[in-house]
Amino acid sequence: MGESKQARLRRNILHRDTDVRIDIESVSVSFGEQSVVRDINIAIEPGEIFVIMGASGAGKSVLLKCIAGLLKPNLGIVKINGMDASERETHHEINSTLVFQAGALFNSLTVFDNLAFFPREHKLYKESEIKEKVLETLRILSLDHAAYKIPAELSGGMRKRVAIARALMCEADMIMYDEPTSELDPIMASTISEIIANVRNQFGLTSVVVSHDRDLAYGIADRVAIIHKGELLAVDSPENIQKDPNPLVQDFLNPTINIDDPRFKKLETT
Amino acid sequence: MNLLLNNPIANFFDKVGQHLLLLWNSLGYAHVIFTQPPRVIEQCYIMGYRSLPIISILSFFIGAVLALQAGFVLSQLSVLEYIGSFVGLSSARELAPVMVAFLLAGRVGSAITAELASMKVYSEIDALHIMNVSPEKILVMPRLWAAIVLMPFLSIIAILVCWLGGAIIAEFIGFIQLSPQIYWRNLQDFIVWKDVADGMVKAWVFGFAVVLIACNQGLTTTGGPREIGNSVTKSVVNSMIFILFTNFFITRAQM
Repeated sequence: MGESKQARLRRNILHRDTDVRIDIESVSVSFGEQSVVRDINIAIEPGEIFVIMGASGAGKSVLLKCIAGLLKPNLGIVKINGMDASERETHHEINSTLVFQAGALFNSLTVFDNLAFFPREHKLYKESEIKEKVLETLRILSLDHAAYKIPAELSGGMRKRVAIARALMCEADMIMYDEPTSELDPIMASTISEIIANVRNQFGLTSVVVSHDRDLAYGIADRVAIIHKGELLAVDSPENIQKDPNPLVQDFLNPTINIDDPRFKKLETT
Repeated sequence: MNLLLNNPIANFFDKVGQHLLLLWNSLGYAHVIFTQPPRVIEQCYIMGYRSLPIISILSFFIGAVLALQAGFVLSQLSVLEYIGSFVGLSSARELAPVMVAFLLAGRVGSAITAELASMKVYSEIDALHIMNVSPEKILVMPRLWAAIVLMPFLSIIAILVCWLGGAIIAEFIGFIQLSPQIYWRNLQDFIVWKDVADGMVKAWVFGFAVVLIACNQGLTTTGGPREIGNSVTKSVVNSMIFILFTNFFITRAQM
């Protein structure tokens, strides 16, 4: 008798294979007439922390959704270990997880139940083992006091940490972060950056981070990609990308505010 | 392509297709009633137990109004004893199942759409996909099971309370004053089990459809929080249109 889909999924989750390579090949995405991502080619190596940067609306979160399999590109393909990321079957083989920008925590469940959700649904462990693992994960992220709170009772920083904790409970082979430090104070942003780096160092997970936070990118990235209006401008190490001659890259990394800009003058007169 | 999507007929068939696809995907998880009974029981509690008081109150007054209107006309024709059959048949075959379905659409369907739409807008549904957990398995099928299990019970309770409301009004309203014995005997003489069964079949179809429409509307919500309200309105309106439209054809088929 063949192995059931659920059993195969459970086996794949428990057999952690962190050797995950992502190939983004000629990916284009458009919503109606609006082209959001245009012909992007990137290869992300196993175990790498790859940060995708760009201004708001540049198309980085859309690209991340393509990698996560939540969105199918109009053109091109995202491959995870050679398999099409837009097929659910790929994510049954390679267990990936995504830390959403706003956390996407289940609002009707407590923090504990949010973390226990994945192992319970896939029947990975006994309830006593799940409890042990959840409490341990909460302790690592200094969230043990929040175990029985509901997400609405948490601050922005705590929600982000709970979202990361929930992602860790998924025992993923690769992890994606969507704007992990947005709306956080510099201290909390630095804590989250440390957590991302530690997760990679401890588990060797391929990590894709979408952010517009330069400190995060310079601090933890192995390589950085800059996207501008849906197009890839540059991919390089944080050190090299800071020296990139492309003026659009420099404008993004080192923005200057010119108060004599006619736009501001116009604001003054209105 | 855009022209096709803006076409109301194409839109209608697109919606029908969405519902059928959701139903097909959900039926693949029909086993949840055995593997995850707590989820089904929770939905039964929300859908049934919490709706029971309002269903009982409304059913009582529908039976009462039926008896009142029938009593007014039948007293002029001097055939007051037929109130029992009038209230019995109209409530069993039409009013009780339709009223229960309307209540379900307004009370339960709207809540389902609001909950699922909120989960969709705030990326909780995406989080489920990322965790390889199907929304059909944990959100849709338990609710469909609850509707399948509960609707016949809810409709039979509504029918009985309608009859009771009619009997009480028939006895105590001055210009009717029909003894309960005559009311119930007349009702028994005219009502056969098929009438009640027909009503239960209607309620079952309506309940199942209301839950399916509510789930689909919630899961296909896009945009910001404002769209949650729009989705709830669409869910209730579409459910009511479906109930009234289908009621005609089921009634015709049952004749």
